[in-house]
Amino acid sequence: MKSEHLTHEEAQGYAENVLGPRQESAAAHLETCGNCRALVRQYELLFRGLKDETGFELPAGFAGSVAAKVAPQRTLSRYGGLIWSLAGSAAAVCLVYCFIDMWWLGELVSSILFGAGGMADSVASALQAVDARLPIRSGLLVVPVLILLVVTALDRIILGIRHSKAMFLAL
Amino acid sequence: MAARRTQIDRILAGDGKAFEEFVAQYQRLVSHVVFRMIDNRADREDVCQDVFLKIHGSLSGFRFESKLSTWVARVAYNKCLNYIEKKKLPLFEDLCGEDESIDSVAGEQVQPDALVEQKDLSNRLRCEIDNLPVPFRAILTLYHLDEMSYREIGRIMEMPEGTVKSYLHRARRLLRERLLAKYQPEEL
Repeated sequence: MKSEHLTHEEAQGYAENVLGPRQESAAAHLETCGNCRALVRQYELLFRGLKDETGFELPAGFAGSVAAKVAPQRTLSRYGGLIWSLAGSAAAVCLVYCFIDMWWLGELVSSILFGAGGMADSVASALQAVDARLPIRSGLLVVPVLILLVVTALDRIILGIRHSKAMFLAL
Repeated sequence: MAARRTQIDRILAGDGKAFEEFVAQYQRLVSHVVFRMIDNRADREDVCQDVFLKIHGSLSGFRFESKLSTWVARVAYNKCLNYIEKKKLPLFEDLCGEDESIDSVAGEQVQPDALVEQKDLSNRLRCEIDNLPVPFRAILTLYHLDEMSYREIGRIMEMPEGTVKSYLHRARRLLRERLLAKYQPEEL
């Protein structure tokens, strides 16, 4: 038989009936000790109150309002945005390629400033150089646009497939 | 388990109805964590909503390595911690120091106006729980209201089971002391 008083931890454990082998000796002690009985009783009351607590209700229609906020718009972004990142990077590389090699601009500026054949000649020759390159470069500008269009189209197709799958699973 | 997987598959496939069912299923658990950890009533619903939006965004990463309820509660707990950090609110504002006895803090923060409004044990309890440190409140709620084990609570709060157990005992003892400091045992 347990002769000494119950600790708070033991009183809590007894009130929850989780003391295991010590439960019996604690019960024997409680028969003779009013203080420990009161302690256990207080914890029992407290636990009942904790279990029956209320006041956590969310407004009616909460689930519907949250669900409405996540209506699917893009599907490829579900994969961590990897595909969109790749498409964006490819587009960025094309754009950089289009504009980075702009030595002809420098040529134009230097020939205007330092050209020996007069400004008009310098501008004419520089523009010829621009003419020679620009069609190829400006053609490349279409590539990033195409990449993004293809990715968007894929996104819509996958969205359609996913919707069909969702409807199938819901049946 | 199979039904759970199907539900998640449907949500990932963009089925809004499935997600609505999911929210309805777990809103009780999420509101327990959020309402308990966030003091500002005006922000609670928004935080609950943020929790579910976060869950929706990261559901594809759920690997069924733990119970879904544990994972949901963990997202809610972390969201609340972020909120508390963002608002620069103290996490352990009222926690007793190692050398300070629990009895010495019992009876602090008596609010006479609030006492008048406390009509029953539930209200009295709520008032006292709201004055406890945030982790104590979370543990009390997850253990008593959501009936989670020490292990599950440990996973949610990222702390050892022993710490969970110790915090729970301390929280309950603190709660008892504070209630008894304000009310007679027969009033409870």
